[in-house]
Amino acid sequence: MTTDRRSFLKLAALTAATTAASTAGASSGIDPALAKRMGPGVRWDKAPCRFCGTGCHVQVGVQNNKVVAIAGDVHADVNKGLLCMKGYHVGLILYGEDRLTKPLLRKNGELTPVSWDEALDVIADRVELDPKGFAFYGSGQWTIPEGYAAQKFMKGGIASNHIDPNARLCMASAVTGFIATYGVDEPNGCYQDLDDCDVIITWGNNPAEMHPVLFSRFMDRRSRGEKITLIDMSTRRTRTSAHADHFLRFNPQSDLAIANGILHLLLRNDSWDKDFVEKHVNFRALEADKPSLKGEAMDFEAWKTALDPYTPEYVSEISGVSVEDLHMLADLFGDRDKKITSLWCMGANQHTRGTAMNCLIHGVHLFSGHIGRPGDNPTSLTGQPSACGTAREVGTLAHALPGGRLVAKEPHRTQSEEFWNVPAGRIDPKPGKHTVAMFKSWSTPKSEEGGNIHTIWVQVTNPGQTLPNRNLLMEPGVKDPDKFLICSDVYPTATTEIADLVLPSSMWVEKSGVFGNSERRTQQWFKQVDPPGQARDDCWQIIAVAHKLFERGFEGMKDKDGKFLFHMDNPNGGTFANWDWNRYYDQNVDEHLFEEYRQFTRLKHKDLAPYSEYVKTRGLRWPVVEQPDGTWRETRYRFAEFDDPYVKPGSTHDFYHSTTGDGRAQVWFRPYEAPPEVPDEEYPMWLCTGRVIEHWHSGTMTGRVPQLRGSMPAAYCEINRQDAANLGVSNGDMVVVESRRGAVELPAWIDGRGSPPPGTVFVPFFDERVKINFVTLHEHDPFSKQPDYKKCAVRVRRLEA
Amino acid sequence: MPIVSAVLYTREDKRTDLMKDLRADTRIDVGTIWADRVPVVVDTPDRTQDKAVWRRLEHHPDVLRVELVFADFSDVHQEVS
Ligand code: SF4
Repeated sequence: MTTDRRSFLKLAALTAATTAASTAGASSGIDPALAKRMGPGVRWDKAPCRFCGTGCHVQVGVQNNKVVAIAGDVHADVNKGLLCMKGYHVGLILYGEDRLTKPLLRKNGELTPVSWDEALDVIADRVELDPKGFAFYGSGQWTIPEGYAAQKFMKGGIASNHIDPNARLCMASAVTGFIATYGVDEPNGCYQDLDDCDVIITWGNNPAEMHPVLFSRFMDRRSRGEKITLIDMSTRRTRTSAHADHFLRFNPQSDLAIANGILHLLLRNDSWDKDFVEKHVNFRALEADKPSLKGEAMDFEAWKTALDPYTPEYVSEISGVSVEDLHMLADLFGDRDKKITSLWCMGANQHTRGTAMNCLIHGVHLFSGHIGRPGDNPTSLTGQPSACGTAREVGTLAHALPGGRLVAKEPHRTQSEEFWNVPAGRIDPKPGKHTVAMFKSWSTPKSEEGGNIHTIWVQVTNPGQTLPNRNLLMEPGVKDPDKFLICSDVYPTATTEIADLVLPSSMWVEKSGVFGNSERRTQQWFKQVDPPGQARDDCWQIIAVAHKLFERGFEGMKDKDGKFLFHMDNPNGGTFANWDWNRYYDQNVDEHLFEEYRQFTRLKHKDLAPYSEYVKTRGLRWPVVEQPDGTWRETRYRFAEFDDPYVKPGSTHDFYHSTTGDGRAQVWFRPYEAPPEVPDEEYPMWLCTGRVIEHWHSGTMTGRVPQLRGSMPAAYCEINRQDAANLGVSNGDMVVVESRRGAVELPAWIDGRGSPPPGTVFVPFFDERVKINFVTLHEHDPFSKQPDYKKCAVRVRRLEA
Repeated sequence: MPIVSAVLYTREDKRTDLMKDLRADTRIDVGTIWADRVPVVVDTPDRTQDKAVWRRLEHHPDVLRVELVFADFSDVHQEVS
């Protein structure tokens, strides 16, 4: 045995124990590593955690302009004082040794320090080169004001719709699923479902590692002796499976067949909810000629006939789930006395049929009437802290405008132009390029068709490590001298490494912000410490570039009255210089942008309260509606008469944004279809990628926290024992994982943290030294345009020394 | 050469002696402590020592419970052959 292998084994053993310790429940208290710096006179203030879409609140202790302590916020409904191991250490993400502190411009191949003024001029030059070829790639980690500013800058300013968030890669299929089903995005339920349900079903989701504080609600109930059943459906065993009453392993992509199989059995057993279906549901199928999210009506008999083939035997053959387990699922949904909460996240979303899968989960709940009661709802989760608030609600997507509006709809454009006070016709009616198309265009020479995107400005995300099929979507652009990449970030990343211009950003409590979490909760915080060196807020960066262009006379940066697009009055009736960094915090720019954005939120009944209300609370769930006494009331359950003020009185349930205009939700028929790439002789194994509890997404922040890095320092290839034996691989041996697109080398881990079945390997994507995105597939869902990171064909071999 | 890891369940306010003992033993590494739970990995040259370490931990006055998580004995047969 080599020393390397032995070290790997020890590490594997330790990470397994650390994860077990951390998923056995969330924790409260203060991180001792930070508390060492704590003396008397610590000032405490609230902030949401910087990491996942759960949206826990922390109390941040600050002393001498430094974060010195973090504690779970006992007043926060989301986490009730608890934090997972990432949240517990969140303060340390600010203090990695290699923070970016100066703007850097690539000169003769080297990133060279330049002034902010020069950096802003370079960006303004790139916009003026050809505004329609300038693109913005943003993030579900953008704060709401940041995303709103970027949206206005692009669509209302330079009139380019080429703005898309990284959320395209993690939850776009959830959006299209909600819209196709209810006519409006985001869950009807909330986290309270986890406290009230009898059954939790995880559809390809691993909350024990990815949403640990939510999972701790389940663990707490169980430890109190409550009877709560956990059914984990997954393509591999995870920490969630370890706590499940039933683990149903299914073959990749066959979740579509399982959902159809449940519907088939509800019909066959006559156990569907006839009263609910009769009053609240229509049946829908895709149009044959031009499929859309609206679909076309399908009569009930035709819908039933379409489900005929999905017998338990047929579904079992496709999915590998036993006939008995399929009956067990159908029996649960057939029992109206049970309250069922379905959870899903990237497993169902990162799917070439992600929209269909989302629609089917909703469909199973609707057809069985398991919706609209506390504990009885389909609840999709998000990975990023403001994927909902910023990407979905502000609508920083290539086809969208704020508040659920669409660029293609004339009345939506007109209303947005009015809110922005820009000339009629400023907004381009043609949707911009979604993420994959944006980078494909950037990686296509300008001279060739489709190569018009010349510049992409990336903020708060790391496509160098997360964009799929990097050899196709990034490498040609990196080598093309006509193409230009701008990256605003806090640490050196796989993206700053290839960028032409790098801008140092403030992070988390170094700036004020507003996030929107997975349960429609909008959460505000104030700046608490200064950013290091010359690092500056992303929002300021956008406003400063806009002002550069305004100074140069660029028409798009003027409103109808000739004022600056981001004009703010100062208290003396003059103009507040929000583009001047030295004065940026003299007034509350966030509040100004938020109040402007708030006007957009009424159309789809996503009403937000005034900014000042969020200052007082640990977040409010929209729609937040003003009461006769002047207070603001949040909504826990949408579309249900008992809680949602917009439901028609007397209707019990009212899907008031129904795509059919009749208050009904749509139950779709979407067939099982094979994935675009399946293992074959040449590439005989499945690859699934994902996350680990210690690290958050591409690991650029958590990798700087010694405790988290120490717990999980490097990526690994999780492999089944039998496959490892066949390949002659032992724990810790280096293997090559190779697809038709690229290859990586990393150590093997047999039946370690998770257990893949024979023929499958799993690789986490947090480690920038192992860029698994060279291997993954860029094929995507036709509606959501979200790529499938969960399944592609690879071959694995032992790397000979 | 067994490598075995586990979570030791403790009382947060009563584990000073345990932590001292763990740190004094070079065969034991401690992971990120999480509330009442202490993850440890034990790397010993043979089965006899492995068993002795775990027996000691199981009976340590500061340890309430031990939850075994990972065990690798893949080359233990080399000791006996
Ligand atoms: S990472 Fe997620 S679950 Fe953990 S503390 Fe932060 S918000 Fe909560």
